[in-house]
Amino acid sequence: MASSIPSLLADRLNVSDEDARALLRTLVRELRTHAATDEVRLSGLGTFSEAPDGTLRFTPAPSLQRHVNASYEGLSSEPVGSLETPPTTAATKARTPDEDPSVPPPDAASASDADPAASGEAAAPNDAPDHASPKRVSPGPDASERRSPVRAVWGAALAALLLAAAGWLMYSEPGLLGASSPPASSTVSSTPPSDTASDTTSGSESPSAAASDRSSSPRPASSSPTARASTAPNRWAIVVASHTARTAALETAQSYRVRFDTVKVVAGTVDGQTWYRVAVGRYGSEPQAEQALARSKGTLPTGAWTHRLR
Amino acid sequence: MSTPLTDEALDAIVAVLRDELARERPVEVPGLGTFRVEHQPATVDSTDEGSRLRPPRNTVVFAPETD
Repeated sequence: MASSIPSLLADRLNVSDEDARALLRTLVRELRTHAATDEVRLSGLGTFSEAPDGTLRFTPAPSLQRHVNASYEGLSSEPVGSLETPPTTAATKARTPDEDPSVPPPDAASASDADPAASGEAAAPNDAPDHASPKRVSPGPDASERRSPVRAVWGAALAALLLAAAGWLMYSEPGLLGASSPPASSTVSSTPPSDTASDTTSGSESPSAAASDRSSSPRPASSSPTARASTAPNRWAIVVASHTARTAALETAQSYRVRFDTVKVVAGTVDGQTWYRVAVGRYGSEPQAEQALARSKGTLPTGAWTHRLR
Repeated sequence: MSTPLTDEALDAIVAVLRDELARERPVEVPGLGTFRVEHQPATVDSTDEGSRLRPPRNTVVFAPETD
């Protein structure tokens, strides 16, 4: 349902509804009169003109377009890279939809990122349809059927030995598992971390990204409210690029690390699509970030944008 | 007798329209038409040079009032 502009205008101008209606009538009359012969431009809104058939046309101003696209700031089109995956194996076929950025967001396979899966949590909800797919062939049962009883016994013994060793390691060094599990795979998660449902700095450098990302920064600030609060003063940054693939964003981020002390990949989800924005610098306020952006004009991409980190 | 359209009033009208559209709410201006925001989801454009993923965006559209 359309908003009632007379009452909104009355509230803003602190006048009666009738006065607001009178103002609008005047505006409409002036607009139509001038639009019949010329273009009428309202700063911050757009341009009105009359079409040959007598109907009124409106072209929105660029500032209005930016205003209604504030939530998509910093996003730009990017090439959809082809993936170098063996086309013949069943496992690869089953994973392809996850890796295809062209899959629409509402689709369960819309992880949209070209990064292959690495962790159990990454494979959780979005991969469900793949598991249900009849095309997916699990090698497990076939392999076990081919095993001889002797091999099975040896395998079980070996597994028990490994489990015992792992248990001993965990017991003797409790922090070992948390530190080592993400890099266990050299690949990067195909699905965004669960904390990227909203745009936060927290998901920016997830443990799974550590394989290719510099690990000098500590754990993501998301893990505790106190950690998040400690980063609160410098919430503004400059977005220099955005990608749907985390790996591409990390590569871009790497190229900026020689110039900026703080470079983060900030994950944000828009319409079910996760975007990884490369944010450089940390500034205490928007004016400071704008000043830094103005100073860096010519060295940063023309589409660079100040961005408030949440 | 018509109400004079001051700069303040004009600015207020524009501000109200911008605010409502930013909230993706349609706004009907009696005698003029209806402004609304159309959402366009992310799309993949395929060309001879390859495919490009275009991010989602909003577009302001205007439907003039018909007599």
